[in-house]
Amino acid sequence: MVRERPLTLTFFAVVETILAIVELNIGTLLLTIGNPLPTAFPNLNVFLIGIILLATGILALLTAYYLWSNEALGWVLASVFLATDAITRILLPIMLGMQWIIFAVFLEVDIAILYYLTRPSIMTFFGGEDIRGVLQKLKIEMEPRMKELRFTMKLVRKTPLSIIGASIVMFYVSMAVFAPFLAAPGHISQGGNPEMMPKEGASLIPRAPSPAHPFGTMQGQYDIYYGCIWGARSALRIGLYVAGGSLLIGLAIGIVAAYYGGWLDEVLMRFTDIILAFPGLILCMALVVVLVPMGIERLDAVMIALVIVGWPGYSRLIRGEILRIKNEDYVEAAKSVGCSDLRVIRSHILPNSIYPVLIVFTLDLGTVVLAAAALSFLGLGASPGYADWGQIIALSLNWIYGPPSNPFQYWYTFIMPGIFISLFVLGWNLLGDALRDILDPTLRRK
Amino acid sequence: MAEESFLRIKDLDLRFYTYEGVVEALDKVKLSIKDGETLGVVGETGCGKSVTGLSELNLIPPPGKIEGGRILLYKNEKWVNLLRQRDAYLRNVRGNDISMIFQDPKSALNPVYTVRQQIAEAIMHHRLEELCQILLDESKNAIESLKKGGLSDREKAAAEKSVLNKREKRMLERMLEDPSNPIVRIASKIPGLNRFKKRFNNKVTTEVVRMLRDMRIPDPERVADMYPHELSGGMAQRVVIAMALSCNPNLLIADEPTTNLDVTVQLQILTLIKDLKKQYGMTIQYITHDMGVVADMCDRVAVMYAGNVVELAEVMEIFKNPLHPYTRALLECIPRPGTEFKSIEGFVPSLISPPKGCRFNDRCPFAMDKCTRQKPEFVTAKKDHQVLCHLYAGETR
Amino acid sequence: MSFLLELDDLKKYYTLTGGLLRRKVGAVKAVDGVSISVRKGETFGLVGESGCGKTTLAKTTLRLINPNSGNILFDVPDEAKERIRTLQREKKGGFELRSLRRQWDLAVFRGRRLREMRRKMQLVYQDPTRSLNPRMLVKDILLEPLAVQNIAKGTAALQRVSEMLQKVGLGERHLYRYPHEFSGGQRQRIAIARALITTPRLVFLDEPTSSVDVSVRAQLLNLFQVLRKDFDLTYVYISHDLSVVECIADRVGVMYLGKIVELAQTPELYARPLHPYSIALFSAIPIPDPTVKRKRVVLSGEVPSPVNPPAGCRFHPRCESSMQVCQTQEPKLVDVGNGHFVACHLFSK
Repeated sequence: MVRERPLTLTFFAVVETILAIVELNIGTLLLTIGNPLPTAFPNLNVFLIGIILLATGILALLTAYYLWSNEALGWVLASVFLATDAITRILLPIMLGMQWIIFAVFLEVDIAILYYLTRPSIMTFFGGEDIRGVLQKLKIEMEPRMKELRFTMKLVRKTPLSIIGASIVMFYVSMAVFAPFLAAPGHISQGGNPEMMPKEGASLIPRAPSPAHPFGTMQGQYDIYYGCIWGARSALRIGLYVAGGSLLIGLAIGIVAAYYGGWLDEVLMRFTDIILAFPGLILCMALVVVLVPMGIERLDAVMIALVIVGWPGYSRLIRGEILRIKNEDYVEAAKSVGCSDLRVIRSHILPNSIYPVLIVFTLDLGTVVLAAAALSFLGLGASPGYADWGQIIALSLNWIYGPPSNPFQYWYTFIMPGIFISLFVLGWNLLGDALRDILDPTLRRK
Repeated sequence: MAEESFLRIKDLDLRFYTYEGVVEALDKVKLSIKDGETLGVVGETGCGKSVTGLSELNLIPPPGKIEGGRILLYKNEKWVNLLRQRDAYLRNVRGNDISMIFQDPKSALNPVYTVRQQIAEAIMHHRLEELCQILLDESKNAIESLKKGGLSDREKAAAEKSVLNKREKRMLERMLEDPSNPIVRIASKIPGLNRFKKRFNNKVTTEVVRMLRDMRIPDPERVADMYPHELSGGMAQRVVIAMALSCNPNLLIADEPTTNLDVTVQLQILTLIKDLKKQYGMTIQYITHDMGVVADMCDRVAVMYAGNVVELAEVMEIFKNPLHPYTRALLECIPRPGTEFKSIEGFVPSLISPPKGCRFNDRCPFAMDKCTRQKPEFVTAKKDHQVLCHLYAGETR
Repeated sequence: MSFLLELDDLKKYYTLTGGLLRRKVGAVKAVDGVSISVRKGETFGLVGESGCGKTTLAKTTLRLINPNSGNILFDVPDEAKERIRTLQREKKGGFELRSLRRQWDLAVFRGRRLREMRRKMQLVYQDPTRSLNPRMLVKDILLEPLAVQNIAKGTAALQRVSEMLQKVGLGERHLYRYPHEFSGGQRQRIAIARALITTPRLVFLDEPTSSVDVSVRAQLLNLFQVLRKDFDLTYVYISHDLSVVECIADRVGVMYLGKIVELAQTPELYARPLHPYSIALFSAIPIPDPTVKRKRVVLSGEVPSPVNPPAGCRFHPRCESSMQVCQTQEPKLVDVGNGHFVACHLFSK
C-alpha cells in the first residue's frame, strides 16, 4: 500500500527547522556578543542562556532532520522536545517573573504539533499504530547505533587521557558559565561591563595574593582572580568563533577544490598556498594592524585575522581526505546508480572524510587561544583591562623578573594566568587526541 | 632422512584476546612435516592455516597468545621446542632454518630500499661470517696459486684481484670474530679505510645477483637496483622468494604466495618453486585455499577447519578417498560445468564461543548425537591417513 | 532484437603527459577497439588477466568512464543500429548521425538521458567491503537508488527493499545494520541487492566471487542463476577464474591488452582454444585432480603494461608460434566457424 508522507508532517518539519535556526542564531549571538539589551535585561546570564539555546537549537535541528525521514527516532525526539518546551514555557514566567511571559506566546504551537503527533495516521507513518509500536521500531533503529556508541564508550574508557581531557574542558566550560557566581561583577571600575576586570587603586606595582584578591593584583591593580575566571569566557568565545570560522571557510573551499579538480583546484590551492607561505603569527599581526584603524574592535580584529590565517589548514586537510575517498568504490557505485554530485558529496564523501577535520577542530580550539594570547602579549590583542588571559600576561611583562634579591616576587602575575592557559590548551589537546584514537577508522577496529 | 619428521607441532593452542571476546583460533593442532616433502595446508578463511605458519616462527602479533602445545624442530641432531626459546635463538632460526613468504609481495618489501639492500639485509644477518671466511679463503688460495705459477694472464689478473692486503685481512678477521666490533664499524665508514667493506659488499652483491638469477629473473643486475614499486607482482614475489631462500633454510613456509597473482604468473611461480625445491632440497609448507594448486604442488595435505586439523593424508588419498565430511564437502564445492553448484550449508562457527564437541557438527550431514557433546580424537583411520572425526574413532591401526 | 548490448570498436585511451609543458608523451590503451554483442538473457563471460582492460571495458560501457570513441548500443532497434553503422562506415558524420547517436548511443548520452540509462545497467563490484559505504546503514544503501531514480519513496520504498533483501537471502532484521557487521558473502549479497533494486536489464558482475571462500562462492553462483531467471537478467561475468566462468557463462571472450583475442561458445572455447594466449591461459588453470598430467604452457615474461603495447600482434613477444607478420600487422578477429572467433595470424586466411 503506497503511503505518502502526510503534508502536515512536512509542515512540522519545516517549522522545526525554522525554530532550530532561530534558536541557534540567538544562542550564538548571545555567546559572542553578550547582552544585546543591557538596559532592558540587566543581570542576564548570557552565557547560560546562550548555551541552553544552542542545545535546544541542536535538538530542534535533529528533530527536524528525523522528521524529514520517517524514523521513529524523529517522532520520539519531537515529542520529548515539544513536551519539555511546553513545560518550560509554562514554568519560566511562573518561576522567574512575569517578564518571561513572552515565551508563552508560542505555547499553543507546541501543543498543536504534539496533538498532531499523537494521531494514529501520523504514528503509523513512523512505524507503529500506537506508542508501543513506535517505541519498538525505535529499539530496532537504535540497535546498531547503540552498538557503535557502546564500542566508542569502551574505547573512551580505555584511554584515560580522554577522560582527563574531557574533564578539563568541562571544568572550563562550567567556569565560564558560572563566572558571575565565582567572581561577582559589579565593581564601579568596570563601567557596567562585566568583561572588564575590576580595578582597585592605581598603583603600578602588583600586590601579592590576599584574602581580598586571591590571586593578587597586577600592574594597574586589576584583580587577577577575576581576570582568570572571566577569561574562560573570552577564551571559549575566541576558540569557537575562530576555529568555527576557519572550519567553515576551509571546508567550503576544500570541498569544491577537491571534488571538481582541474583548474579550479589549482587556483584555489594556489590561493591557499599564498596564505600558508606567510608565517602565521606575523601575518596575523600585519592583518590586525590593518584592520584596527578601519574601525574594527581590537579583539574582533584578532579573531578575523586568526580565521584568515587558519582556514587554509582545514581546506588542505579536507582536500586530502576527499581526494582519497573520491576514488573509493562506493563513491563510484553511488554514481553508477545515478546520484548527483551534491548527493555524492553529502552522503558518501563528507561523512567519511570529516573525522580528521573534527579532530583538528578540537585541537584548534586550544591552539587558537594560545595564538590569541600570544598576540595579546605582543600588544595586539584585547584592550587593557579586558578579562583575557593573554591580556593579563601582557600586563605582567615588566614583572616577570623581580628585584635581584627575590626574582620571583611577582610570580602570581604570570604564573596564574599561565596555568589557566596551559591547562586549557592541554585539555583540548587531550580531548582531540582521544577523539582521534576513537574516531579514526583505522585505529578503531583493533 | 627422507621419512623422518623435521618439524612437529603438538597440541598447539592459540588464542586472540579481543574486544568481542577470546577467539580460540587454534585448538590442539597436530601437524608434522617430513623432511623433503611439500605439505599442503588447506582451508577457508579463518580456519587458522596462516596463524599456524606464523606460530612456527613465533610471530603471532598481539592480542594473540600461544597458550599451549609444543613446536618441535629437529636442529643440530636434537629436538628443540621453539616456543620455549629466547628471542635471540629464534632470530637465528628465522631465515636460517625456517623462512616464510607471504601473500602480498608488495607489502613484504620495504618501499624505500632497493631489492639489493633488502636481500643483502637477510644475507648479512645470517651469513656474515661465512662470507668473510670465503673472502679470506679466496685470498689465501689466490696467493698460493700465484706462488705456484703457471696461470694464464686472465687467471693471474683474477687471482691478483682476490688478494687482500694486510690491513684488509686484519679488518675482515676482526669482522669475522665480532661483527659489532667498533673498530670495524668506524673503519667501514671512513673512505680511506673501508676497502675491506667494499670488498665485502661486492661479495654480498654477487650473492644477491646469483639469487636473483636463480629465481629466473631476467637481467638480475638491473633488477637488483630497482625499488619495489617498479616491479610487477610476479617479479616482486620472486624477489621475496629470493630473500627467503638467501640463507638456504630447510623449511619454507609459503602463505598463499600466488593468490594475488594472475593465473599465468601463478603458473610461473609454482613452476619456479618446484624447480627450487629440487635445486635446494627444501621442505615446503604450502598454505592455500585452492585445491587445484594443492593437487599440483603437494605430497601430503592437511585440511583445516575452524582451528582444527581435520584430515591429514597423502594428496592422492585426499582427493580419491576423502574421509572427513568437511573435506568431502569442500571437494564437492569445486565448480564443474554442467552440474549444479554445491555449497556447504550454514556458516563457519564463531571462534569466540566455539561449539562444544566437533566444530563442524552443525554443518555435517553425518552428525551424530555424540558430535555435539564430545570433541573427536585425531585418529589414524588408514595407513598414513588421519582424521578428526567420530565416524572413524575406534579404527585406530 | 536479440542483441541487448552491442559495443562497436570501443576505445578508451588514457593520455600520459610529461615534461614541463605537460605534453602528451604516450597513451595507455586500456580498451583498444573492442566490439562485442551480448544476447538478451545470456551470460557473457569476459576473461583475462590484470591489465587486460576487462574492468575498464565494463566501466566504460556503464559510462563511469567516458570512452574516446566507439558506440555503445543498448536496447536499440535494429534499424537504428544499421543506420548508425552505415553512416559511420560511409563517413557521413552529419546532422543525421549526430541526432541518431544522441538518441540511441549510450556513448554520447548526457544529463537526464544518461541518468535514466543507469537504471537499466548496473555493476556489482569485486570487493564488497569497498563498494559499500561503511557509514551507511544497509537500509539507506538500498534506498538510495530508489530515491535517486525516483522509483519509490517512503514506505513503498522500504517495502521493496525488504523484498529485495529476502530475494538475496537476507532478512528484515538486517536493515538496520552497518556493512562491517556482515561476513564477506553477506556483504556481496547486499551489493547484489543494491544492483538489482532498480530492476536493471543488464548486470555487469566484476569478479563477484573472488573475495569469498569456495563454499560461499557456490551459494553466490546459485543465487546468480536464480536471480537471472526471476528478474529476466542478462549478465556480463568478468573474471580471471576460468573454472568458474566455464560453469556459468554461455559465451566467453578472452581479452589481452585491451583487445578481444578470442570469442566462442563456452564448451567450444574450453575444448578447443585456438589463440596461443588462450591456450596458455587455460593450461595455467590449476586442476584439482592430482592424477591429471597435462602439458602446461609456461609463458615467458610478465603481462606487459598497456602503456606501450608491442607493435603488430600484442602477444607476439611471448608467443611461441609468432611469425614475421605478427611483428608488424595486427590480426583481426575472424570467424573460424561455429561462432568461434580468433584474432591470430595463424588463422587469418
